[in-house]
Amino acid sequence: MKRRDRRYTLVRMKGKAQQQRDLSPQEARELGVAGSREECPSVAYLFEGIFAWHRCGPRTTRACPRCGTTLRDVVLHHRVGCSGCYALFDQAIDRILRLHREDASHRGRLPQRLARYRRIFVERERVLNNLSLAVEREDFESAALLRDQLQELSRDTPSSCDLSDPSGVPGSSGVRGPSDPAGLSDITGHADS
Amino acid sequence: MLIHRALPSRQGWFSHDGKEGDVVVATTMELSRNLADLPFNGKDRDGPNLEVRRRVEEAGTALSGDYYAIDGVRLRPELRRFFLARGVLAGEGDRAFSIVSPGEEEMIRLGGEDHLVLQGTSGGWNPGAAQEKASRLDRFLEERLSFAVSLRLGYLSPRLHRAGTGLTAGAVLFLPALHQGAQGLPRRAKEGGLQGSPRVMIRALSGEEDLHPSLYRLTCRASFGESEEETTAELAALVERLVYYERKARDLLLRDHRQELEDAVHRALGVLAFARVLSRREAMEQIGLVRLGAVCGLIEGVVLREVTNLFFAACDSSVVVFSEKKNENNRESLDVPRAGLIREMLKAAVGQDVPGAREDESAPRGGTE
Ligand SMILES: [Zn+2]
Repeated sequence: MKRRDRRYTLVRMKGKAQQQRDLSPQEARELGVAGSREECPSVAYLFEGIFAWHRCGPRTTRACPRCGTTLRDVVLHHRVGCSGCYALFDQAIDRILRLHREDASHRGRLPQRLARYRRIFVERERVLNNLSLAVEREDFESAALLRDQLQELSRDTPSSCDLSDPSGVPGSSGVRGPSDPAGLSDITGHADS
Repeated sequence: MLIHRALPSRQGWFSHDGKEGDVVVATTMELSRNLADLPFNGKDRDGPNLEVRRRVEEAGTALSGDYYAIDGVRLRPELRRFFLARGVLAGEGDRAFSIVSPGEEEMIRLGGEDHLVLQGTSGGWNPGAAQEKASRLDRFLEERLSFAVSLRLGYLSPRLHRAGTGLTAGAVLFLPALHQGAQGLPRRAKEGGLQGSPRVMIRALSGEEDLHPSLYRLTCRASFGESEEETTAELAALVERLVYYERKARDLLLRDHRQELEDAVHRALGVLAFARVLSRREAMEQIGLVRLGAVCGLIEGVVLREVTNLFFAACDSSVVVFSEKKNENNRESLDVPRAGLIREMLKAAVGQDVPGAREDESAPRGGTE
């Protein structure tokens, strides 16, 4: 059989349930299942890659404009070429980083100027989430408490000049305003920020 | 202040006293950092290191106190090997560049996989002090450099799994009794694989060449989502166990083979004090025995850190640098200056005379310093 005639099917087992999806030749190539002779990654990593791909969909065929890293590099080698890649391939990276710990997020220290932003954005997101859950199950007592917490956090929001003015210190030049609270594009100094 | 001079010293990061110093030579805390607006170093490590270097050097001029800039490019090859052997330079590449405090307890290293590694070192087992030194460098540099960092993922790295705190907690251990007991057991396979190294690693401490086989570096790399404290606690649990078992193994050795050990230790002392020709291998072996004898209390009045210095002085690169021998290729020619250097340094370690043996049985355990 000629190589181009080969077909690749992705089978995902979840308990007894089975998901199946055919890969297009291009997808298979992108993932390194087909047509790659340069390296031979382990089967386990290949599958991680496939699932990352599966989740992220077609938008990730892009390459990073700054360093040329592609999704294939990210999922196969778990490597990126610049800080911009973290924003571009956020979903795939999320998937890879959470493989071993579902709820993982950074818990260590941050540069001093960023530490308070974490409180505002990450904490706020968590409280908002809990608030909508509380409202959903009509637990108004908890909801009231959470609303107070939210107000507390809002008081902490830095003034606009604080956000836009790096005051000659490049260390925080990439911090974005509250309009982008998800923390996905919060990478400091990102070239096109 | 940044002093552009690479002064080789017989002391180094390994020459500081501390808790559990009989087993733990030093505690190291390394923080990996990358600059936000520059591409990360590639696998081939020839990334835009020159720009990183320029910025770090510029920031370094504001350091308070004297710091030395060790520049891999401008160093003579033998000096480069010297600093590489003791882990001051990050790699053999010409781009390796480091800023170190006089006692080598604080280091900023460039030229590895990450743009820069900030290392704090303390003598013996003292993770708190080592962490504080690394953090001080971190806080200093974050005021002047733009680190790649995300609120959600922490410090970013070219390797995804290194995102987070970027901490590698480590300890340099001297485990001669355990090493002897473990001889004959298969050694762990070498590190490798595509996706990086295991989280906890123990391997022989080495620079350009292996030092004494009983000197190990134990490291624990932070994984994503883990705080600095958790990583350090994991290392602490391992170190505590290794210290306990090494002492236990030493006790057994003393109980069952005291006479042989005493004999070997004093012979080693004699060789180091009087030999005129010493190969690296033989020197390492004898220095190891002297250190073991010292921590077992078999020889009196030994300054442990001076004995540790001997391990590093006995390396070819040190002998070349300290004896002003230019031709390192001829290894035999180093054996005479090596013996001379060790004889001289041994005087500092044990006083002017080779000491007498301890005769009483109540040998103190460890903590000689
Ligand atoms: Zn990139």
